[in-house]
Amino acid sequence: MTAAALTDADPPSARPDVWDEQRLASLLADVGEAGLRDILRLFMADVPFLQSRLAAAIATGNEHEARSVLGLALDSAEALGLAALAAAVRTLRNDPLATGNPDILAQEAARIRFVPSLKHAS
Amino acid sequence: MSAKLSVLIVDDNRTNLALMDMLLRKLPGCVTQLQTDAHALLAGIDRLDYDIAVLACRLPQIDGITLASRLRDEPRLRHKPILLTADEPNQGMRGSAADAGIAEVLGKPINPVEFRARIQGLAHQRSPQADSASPWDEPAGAPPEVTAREEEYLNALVRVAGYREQESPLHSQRMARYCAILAHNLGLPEEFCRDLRHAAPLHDIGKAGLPDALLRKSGFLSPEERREMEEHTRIGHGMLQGARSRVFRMAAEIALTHHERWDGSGYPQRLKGEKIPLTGRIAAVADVFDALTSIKSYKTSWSIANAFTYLHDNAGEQFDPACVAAFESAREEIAEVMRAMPDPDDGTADAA
Repeated sequence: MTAAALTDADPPSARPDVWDEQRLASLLADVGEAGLRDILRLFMADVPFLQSRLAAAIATGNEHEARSVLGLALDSAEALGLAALAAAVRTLRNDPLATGNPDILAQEAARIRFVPSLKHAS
Repeated sequence: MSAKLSVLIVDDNRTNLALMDMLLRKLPGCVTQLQTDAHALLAGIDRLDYDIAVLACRLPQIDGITLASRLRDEPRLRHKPILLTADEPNQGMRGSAADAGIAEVLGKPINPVEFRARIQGLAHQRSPQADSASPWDEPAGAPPEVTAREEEYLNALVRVAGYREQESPLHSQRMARYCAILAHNLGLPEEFCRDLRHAAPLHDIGKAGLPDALLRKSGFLSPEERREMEEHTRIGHGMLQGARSRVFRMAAEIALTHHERWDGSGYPQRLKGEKIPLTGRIAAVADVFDALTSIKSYKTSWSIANAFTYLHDNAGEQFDPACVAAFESAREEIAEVMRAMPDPDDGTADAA
């Protein structure tokens, strides 16, 4: 199995905590690599919108909106097995305005590479 | 019955929509209607039709439970089953969902196997031929000779697992039957029950990867030895994961999760509630019940009454209450399995 990044230029993420490997294995078995890539692309396309909504919510002190955006991000992260993103969002949700980092989604998303390097993905 | 199964999915999260769509499209004849906007859906309710609705509980303008009530207000849709997907559903939410006529509540992130099984179960309910094979059952996908060969491999693996274990050779077989009975009583599709019966005997296969000294040690385990013993779940998962076979994938899931506890104090991942896959929750009940009613090197066998009392007392803490209730309702069948496959009697059985 060759590692294939979702984006072309950057090397695959080597940080093991990006993915929940068990969830990843389950998704690969159930929707296949192509299906998982499609869903992941959909999520990655949504990230800039979620990011700008979150930044605006933080800038205007709109906690309800910030929580709503983070809820969506967490939902997606858990569905896709993006463990590190889910953990970051969960932390942020505890106090989204006081500790909120308006770039958190983009930063975490930048770490996501689709690396079907697990043996069972072959 | 119509030729297709039409599933309406309402979720404001496109990732969830896409995932559920892909999972359902694997079911033969299943078509999906995807909707992110509940108000737009209700605006077109006159033209709306589906066989099953899957609603997210958390929606931006109207919550899933209220949406379910609105859909059921429409006479044409009143009897269409609804499945609610929710983050960490609690008893209060389940009560509200039941009051709104919602048939099933499933925790997020959805477990693909459980999600499809629930949809298949609801499809059965809508069918007038609920007891017969349903066209919504996932097809076996393999010719009979391949399926037969798969069963041979499974049986060989079960023998390998049993060879090194100290368990009664009948433990895995009884436990598998209990799993299938429980799943059946939960209303899960026959195909799921069959798969479970084949997959469950491999729940402890990871013990084959533990050292003899640990497996055969008599007396108490030290904390370090206990941690090492607990690794059999991950080892078993590692042995089985990645297979294309549905049964092997289910077996991998059971191997990993059958020691999780409903209250989150189990191992290896300390999963809680519905975060534990349904297969693992079912296997936990069956495994413990058989352990209690079997003779072990360190204990006599418990009576069936005492074992059921133990399950009942630990529902909601160690076990999924729904699984315990389904198991309790099959008391006669369980007793029949015990009678049909008794352990060799060493005279120590609890006479209660």
